[in-house]
Amino acid sequence: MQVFKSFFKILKAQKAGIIIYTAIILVMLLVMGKAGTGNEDVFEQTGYTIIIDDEDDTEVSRGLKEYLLSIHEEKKGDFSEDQITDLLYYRSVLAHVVIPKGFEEDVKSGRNSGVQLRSDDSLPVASYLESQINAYIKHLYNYLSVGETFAEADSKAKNDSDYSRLVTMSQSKNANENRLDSVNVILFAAFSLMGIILSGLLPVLFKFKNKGVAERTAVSSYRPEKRVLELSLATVLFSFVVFLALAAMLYFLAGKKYDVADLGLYALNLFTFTVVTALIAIMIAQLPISGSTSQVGMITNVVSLSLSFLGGIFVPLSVLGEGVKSFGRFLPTYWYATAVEKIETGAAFSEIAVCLLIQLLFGAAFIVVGIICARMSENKSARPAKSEN
Amino acid sequence: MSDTVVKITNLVKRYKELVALDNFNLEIKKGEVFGLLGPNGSGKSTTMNCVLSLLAYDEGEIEVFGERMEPSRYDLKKRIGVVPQNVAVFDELTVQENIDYFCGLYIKDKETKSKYVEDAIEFVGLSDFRKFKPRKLSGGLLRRLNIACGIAHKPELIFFDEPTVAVDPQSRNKILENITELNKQGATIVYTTHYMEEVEQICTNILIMDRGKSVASGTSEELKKMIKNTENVVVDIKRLPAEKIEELKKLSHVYEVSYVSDRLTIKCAGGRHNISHVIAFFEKENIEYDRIYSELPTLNDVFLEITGKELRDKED
Repeated sequence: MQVFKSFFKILKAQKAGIIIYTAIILVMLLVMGKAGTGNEDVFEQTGYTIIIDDEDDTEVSRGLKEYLLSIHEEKKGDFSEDQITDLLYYRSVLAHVVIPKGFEEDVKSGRNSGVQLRSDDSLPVASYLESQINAYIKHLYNYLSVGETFAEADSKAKNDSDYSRLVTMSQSKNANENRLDSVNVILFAAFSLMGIILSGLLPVLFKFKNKGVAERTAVSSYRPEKRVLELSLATVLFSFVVFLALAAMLYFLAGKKYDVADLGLYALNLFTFTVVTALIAIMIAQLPISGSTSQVGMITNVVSLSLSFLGGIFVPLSVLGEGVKSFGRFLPTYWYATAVEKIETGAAFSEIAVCLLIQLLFGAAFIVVGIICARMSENKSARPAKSEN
Repeated sequence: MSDTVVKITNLVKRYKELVALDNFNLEIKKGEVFGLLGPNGSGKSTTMNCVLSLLAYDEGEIEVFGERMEPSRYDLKKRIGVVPQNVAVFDELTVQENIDYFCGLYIKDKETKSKYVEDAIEFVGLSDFRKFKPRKLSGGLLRRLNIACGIAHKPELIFFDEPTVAVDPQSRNKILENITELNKQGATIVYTTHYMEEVEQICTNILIMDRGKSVASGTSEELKKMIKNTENVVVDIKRLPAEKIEELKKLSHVYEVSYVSDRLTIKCAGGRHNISHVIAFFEKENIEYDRIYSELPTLNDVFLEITGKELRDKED
């Protein structure tokens, strides 16, 4: 296991680069993950502190007041006009609602209720309250006009105008958005995986491919197949460790939002893509280039960024243009993203399996290209002389 | 059992139209320090790479240890060591780790390998640098590491491909000492270079090649006997009229006179006391000179006379 052991000794020397790359990617993943969880509060029902002056003091006006105070908080007290203006100015109170005399009659006859609203124009409070008031009055009028008693109409109007139900819908939508954030994290994992594996593997593989070292190895009694096997094993082991680390990170960031089956599918998809990425690294290492530090950095960025952009890792597939999508179909990242999309939408396993299979086919294609490149460079190597006899 | 370690018969290697090796023949006996001498592009490295199965060849036969050499002959490869011209080690591994890696390509047994690695480190004098990474070593020490990586597995046949190129004199001497010591320990050495002094210093048998062909072979003395030149009288002199050069050519045993950059070189074939005749000529003609000395022909003279060109490149 001479080559295998040396592989990790050389990899150890690359640890600074790998750690920096990994740290940057993990920070990005963390930011993406946390951004999703922060959105949960955005749609919480918001109540304002308001003052309500009920000049009508009827069952309808009291019904409206009751409805409004089920959402908002009342600033109690006996305030003068000037004091109310000050309270609004300093935003101790966000709105002043005046239910005028004759309100009940106006509502029952379907006329404009004339409820007055005062608030800071720079805030959307007025329109928010206005829509609540109008909703209640509209529903109440409708129920009263079909002969319902006030108690029934009031109850139904309050129920129909219940913003908390809308908020519940919003929260449900919010949950989906959190899932979407998690999906973005899972998609981004493909880019992370390529970045870490390529930046870690390529420098080491190129070291073994260095002309002097390769020739020294070639003239030795170490069989080439053994060397290739050990290099492949080391590549697989390193890639698997990166996969495990990323999978653990993803579980930490998004795992709670999925059931075990989905998690398993996501892990399978990421593992498949890990295999493909390792094969990409092996293929690149066979290209007729020197593999200097700058070249490796450039290759890592070009490959991981272009595959991510064109394959729907950074931009959702639904947003990509048809032209890009058509091109993307020839990239493994596209099928990784498609698999993620299918798992997210609860597609049948057979559909997901097709995506995984296509990724593996890409992997096979990469290794074939790698073998061709290796054969071309080996053309210079020796073969037995033609017999003169 | 034959004592021939390497035998090359009618080897032909072409690079498209260019014939790098043209029916090249070579035989290296066990225990020799065999010098493969020739200018850049003469085919030395090509020959070596063909023997080592690093390069395909078009025609001919190569035998190592009496058996046909092929890329899959790992049993033969195990008995061969190579020290390439350029330092070929891992920058990320220490001196010890590098030697261990390359030794491990030949030796499986862990204990034997450890012992061989220790021996190699001591042999090239890198004991104090075993934990150093190559980038911390000087050029000379790097060359020694390069040698250690090639000989750690104690091969019977060792190829040295111009191991002293761009090396300071002290390290060069150390390397040549190492090679001689390896030979004393029983290894057959193949030494390719275009430094004739080194070849004369350490090689027991020499083959001069040019344009892919063997132009002469034998010991240093045998090679020198092949040529007309037996002595060169060299004079540092300013302003020598052309007619005097013509007169010098008429001296007995003198067959060629050249005057370049205030240095007069008089080539003699046979005869004794040639330098006395030249001094007598200058005294008779009342010509002043700075320094006069006599030297025996070098391998460069051999090469020059056989091929009509200098062995060493101008930049060397």
